[in-house]
Amino acid sequence: MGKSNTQEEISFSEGDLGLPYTVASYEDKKVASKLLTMGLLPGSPIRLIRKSLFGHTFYVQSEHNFFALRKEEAATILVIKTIALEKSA
Amino acid sequence: MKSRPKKIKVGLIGNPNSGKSSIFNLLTGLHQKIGNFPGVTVDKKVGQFALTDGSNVELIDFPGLYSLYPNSSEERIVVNTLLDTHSEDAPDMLLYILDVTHFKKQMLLFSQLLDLGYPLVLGLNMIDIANANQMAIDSDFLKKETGVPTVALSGRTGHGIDELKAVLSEVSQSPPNTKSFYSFSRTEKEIIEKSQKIHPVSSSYHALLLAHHADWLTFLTREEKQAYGQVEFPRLHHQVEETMERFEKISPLYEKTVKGSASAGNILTKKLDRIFTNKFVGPLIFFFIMFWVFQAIYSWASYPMDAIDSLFSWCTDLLKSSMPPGYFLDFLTDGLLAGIGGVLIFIPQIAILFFIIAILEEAGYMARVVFLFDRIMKFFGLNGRSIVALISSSACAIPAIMSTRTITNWKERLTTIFVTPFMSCSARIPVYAMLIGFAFPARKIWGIFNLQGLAFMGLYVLGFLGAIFTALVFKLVYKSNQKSYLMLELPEYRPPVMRNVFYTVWEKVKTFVTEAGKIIVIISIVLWGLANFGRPGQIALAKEKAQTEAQKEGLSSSATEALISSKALEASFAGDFGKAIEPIVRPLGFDWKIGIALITSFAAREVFVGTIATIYSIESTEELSIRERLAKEKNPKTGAPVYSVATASSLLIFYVFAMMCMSTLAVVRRETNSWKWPIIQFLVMTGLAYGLSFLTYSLLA
Repeated sequence: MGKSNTQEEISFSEGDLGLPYTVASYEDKKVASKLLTMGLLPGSPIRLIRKSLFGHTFYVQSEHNFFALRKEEAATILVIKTIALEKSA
Repeated sequence: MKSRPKKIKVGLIGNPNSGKSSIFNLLTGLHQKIGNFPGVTVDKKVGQFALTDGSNVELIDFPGLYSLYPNSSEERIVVNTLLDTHSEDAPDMLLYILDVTHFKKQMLLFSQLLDLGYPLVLGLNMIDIANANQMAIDSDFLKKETGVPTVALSGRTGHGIDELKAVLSEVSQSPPNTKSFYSFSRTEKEIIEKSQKIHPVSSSYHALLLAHHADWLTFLTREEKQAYGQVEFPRLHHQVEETMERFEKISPLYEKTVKGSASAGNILTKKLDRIFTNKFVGPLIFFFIMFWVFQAIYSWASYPMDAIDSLFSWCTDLLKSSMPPGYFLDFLTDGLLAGIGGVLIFIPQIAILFFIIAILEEAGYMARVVFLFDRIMKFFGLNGRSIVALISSSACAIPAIMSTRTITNWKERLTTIFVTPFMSCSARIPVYAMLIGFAFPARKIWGIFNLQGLAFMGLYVLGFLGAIFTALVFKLVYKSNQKSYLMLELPEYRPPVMRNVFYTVWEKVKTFVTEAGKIIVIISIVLWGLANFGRPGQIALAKEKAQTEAQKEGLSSSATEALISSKALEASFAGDFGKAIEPIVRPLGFDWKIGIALITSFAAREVFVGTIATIYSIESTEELSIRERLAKEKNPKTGAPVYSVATASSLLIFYVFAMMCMSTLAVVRRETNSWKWPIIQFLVMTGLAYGLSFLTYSLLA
């Protein structure tokens, strides 16, 4: 969908709180299989809303959907920073 | 046109949180029953309703599913049933329920079902919320694009239900031609061709799924599985490609069908979660809610319980005054009525507990609890989802154990199953309620908290601690390398649909009354028999002896009567049993009468109360409530009350920890598929109970 691939892929667990990211790919088969069925695909927007008390559980938003993910699960999701370009689409 | 009543099997399918159960309740009302899928123990809810053309629909409510690529054992059962077209549960057609406010995401499974080839009806649910958000849904366009008859529905208001019935009737008579959604790649076509040779089915997508899932599908023969093993299939790669392509097609469909979005609920959810899932405030709110729940159970339920209690006293009095005395009257009042009363009196507490759990679940709060406590649960070797099982287990361990199927990691699931019965279920409520008054006085603390209510909650906390620390031991003892996952959807908060809450409460109370009630009534009757009959001549002899003893001591007539019935009970079969185990329970502070009640409790805990009622009603002539009766019970040797603080506390502790429920053991055996786990569970729990009771009694006596 015309996204630039020059952006650096990082693990989602390294991402910043509240910033918009885009899912690039998955490293874990099980995580991939489950998140795909829940509609979180490569190309989907993803944002970390908050962390639980000791930072091990992530509250994540993608479009209108909210998910709970473990930090280890989030670590297997590779994401890129979303740039403002998308608005013009 | 010929019209004879026919039976149509309709499968109800939808994503979790699609509002499927609202639609199920609206369609079937109280005509529901719960069964099992053959060979497995996943709840199968089946309801009946009639269509206007006179045909009868059997509606099967399948567990929530995200896609035909399942991730949990529960989801696998749904897929297995749908792919096994010869199964007795295979539906004739499907009703797919989709939450329009999450249209895009929930279209994935719909598009897969479309390709699978079942006749389909699409229900666009939550249309009331869509309307309130000024969303526009072009269902005609959707129908034209997919060929599937589409109905706008609201599970909350009941909008569209009549139209849905009409459409179901139409489709059952002549299924419309639908368009296939997905176009297969070349490798997929090759796989489909091979699959069709191994296990021929009517649609290509069906054949593809057979090849994909062949490993675990139960209806394939060993030869077929071997043949599928030869088919080269990059499974995950294919699933990613397929899902991506489906969404590529869903996106334009979504943009043309749905205008606007239900952002209000979304924004509200985000705001509420700032508080409810806050790292500090969130857990505090949860504990406050739990605290309030247990206070509510104890205080609200007391009025209806008193009413039921006096109703049964009144019935007993009525029978006694209108029938000639004798064995039959005794059987009716002390055996049957006492047994039934012992079951019915706990309905208020069970109903209140399920009422609150159902509201929290319906509103979407339970998923937040999973989010909040996943990490700490994981530390104890459990999963965030375990907390839902543990909380529901405070109603009944059986559905709670069955709910663990959503935990994909076997060790975490086994641990949850193992420790769930430690949670104080509703069957313990009667025992606690009866005994707590003997261990704790009724007074207020700091002017607001009811001490007995606090103690009640304390017992629950004790059960919870028993559960998590046993889990911790389990974690250290039982090794496994399987990875564990959370990945959970957090649904939007929605005001609970009270109809659904009502059906949940009704269903649970019905289950308690029929399942637990049956056992309680039967055991009450057996006990009555054991308590009234003994080895030949023994009872008569005991009565005679008591008579002379009473005369010698110059007792009043009522005291004489009490002494006689007490001695008669001691000489009965029940007395023999109790005496036989007395040496074992003596160190815990229990006498042989409590011993009898303990033995019968191993069938089901709540039987304790019925047993006690039966045992003591024989002794006293006045009709007092059980609790008042027990307070009067004195040790014949010392004259001290039998239900002292030490004995009552020791008994309470015993009931918190002991594994006394045959139905739970049976479910654990089914769920773990071996006798090993229920046996270990029984030994561990009951051993712990004995040890802790002994400690309690030794400290307090």
